[in-house]
Amino acid sequence: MIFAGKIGSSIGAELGSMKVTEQIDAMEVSGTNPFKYLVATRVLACTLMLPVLVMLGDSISLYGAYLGVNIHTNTSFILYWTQVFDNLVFGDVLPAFTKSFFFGFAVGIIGCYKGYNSSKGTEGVGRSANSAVVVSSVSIFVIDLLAVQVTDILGY
Amino acid sequence: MKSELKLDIKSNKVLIIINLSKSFGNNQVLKEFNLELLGGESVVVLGKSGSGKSVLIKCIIGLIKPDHGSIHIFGHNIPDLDHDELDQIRAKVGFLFQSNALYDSMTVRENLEFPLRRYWLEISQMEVDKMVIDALEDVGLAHTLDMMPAELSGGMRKRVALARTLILKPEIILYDEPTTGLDTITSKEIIELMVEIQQKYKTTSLIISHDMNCVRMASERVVMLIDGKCYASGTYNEIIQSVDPKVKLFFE
Repeated sequence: MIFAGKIGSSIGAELGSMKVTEQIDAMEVSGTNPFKYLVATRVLACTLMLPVLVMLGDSISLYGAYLGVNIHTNTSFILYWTQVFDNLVFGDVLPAFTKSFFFGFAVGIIGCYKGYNSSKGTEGVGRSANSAVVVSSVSIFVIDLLAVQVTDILGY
Repeated sequence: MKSELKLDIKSNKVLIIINLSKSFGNNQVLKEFNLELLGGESVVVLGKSGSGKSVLIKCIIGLIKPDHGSIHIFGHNIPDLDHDELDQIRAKVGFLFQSNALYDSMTVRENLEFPLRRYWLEISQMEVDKMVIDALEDVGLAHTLDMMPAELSGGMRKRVALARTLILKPEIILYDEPTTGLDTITSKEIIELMVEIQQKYKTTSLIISHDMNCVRMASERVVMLIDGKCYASGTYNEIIQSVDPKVKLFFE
């Protein structure tokens, strides 16, 4: 959700601003395909980097949990991590990691679509950024809902 | 390329627009508009705001698809061309945007290098640097090379945009309201620069404007775009002497 808010709005506003100031038209006139140059690169970056962020977030949260545990009990670092990996199963990691690719793709494509189709000057840019966040957030809920059903069917 | 028009080479017509029509919903902006442009000529299309001038110029460069009619540039009908064919024509046609359309996340140097990207593998970085410097020297702004567009004044941005248009050495330059938003003195400087560039590179210019100074100084021929049609055409002196009330309105 933080990714949708930060990156979705950023892409929506950036492309929206480029659209209303004719920068996308200038790119097309220069013989550059703006879809490949602006949209494909951003969607690819979001799709590939959100899983990396998820892994980073998971690592930080596990380390945070170790600090939390250590406040109450004197648990060794090695013991904590051994117990974490003993209790983690494939089904805990794979579904969450896999769906983050879809979340990243959704945030990227929605941000680009809203920005690319921006109109009505600076007001339109604000609306594109806002709309990109709202639609991305809703799409994350929908994808998560579907992911839970699929995970359930597959027995993870 | 498909849709080649057999042109009489002696006629030297680089742009021929025949019966061009374009509507947005119920609003018909262009109604069977016709125009011919000779090589090396400088033509100003004059019309009031909202008369379809920018739509016309965007149809010519292929950014807007017309409903009807044909636009032949160097014998090729623009609406019939696919993306790659259109790019080949666009390399010969420069376009100066009304808002300048400089990429605000890039420096002036990067803005000028951008149109050269498609030739990147064929030319060395040294040649690219020379082309960038030459284009900036043409507009008197060689010192702005590493500045960002946001650091430039309105007139400087217009000059940089003109340098970016010039860098591919276009045969035709389309100017969309080149003096909009500029003060009288800066407008005059930009118009003088446009005339200087046309004389230096022997380019053909199509200028969209409602600025009378621009019409007077830059035009060899004026075309009046009224009610979506080519309403009147002639030299500046012929047009200002017109007794037609719709034409006279512009010069009162």
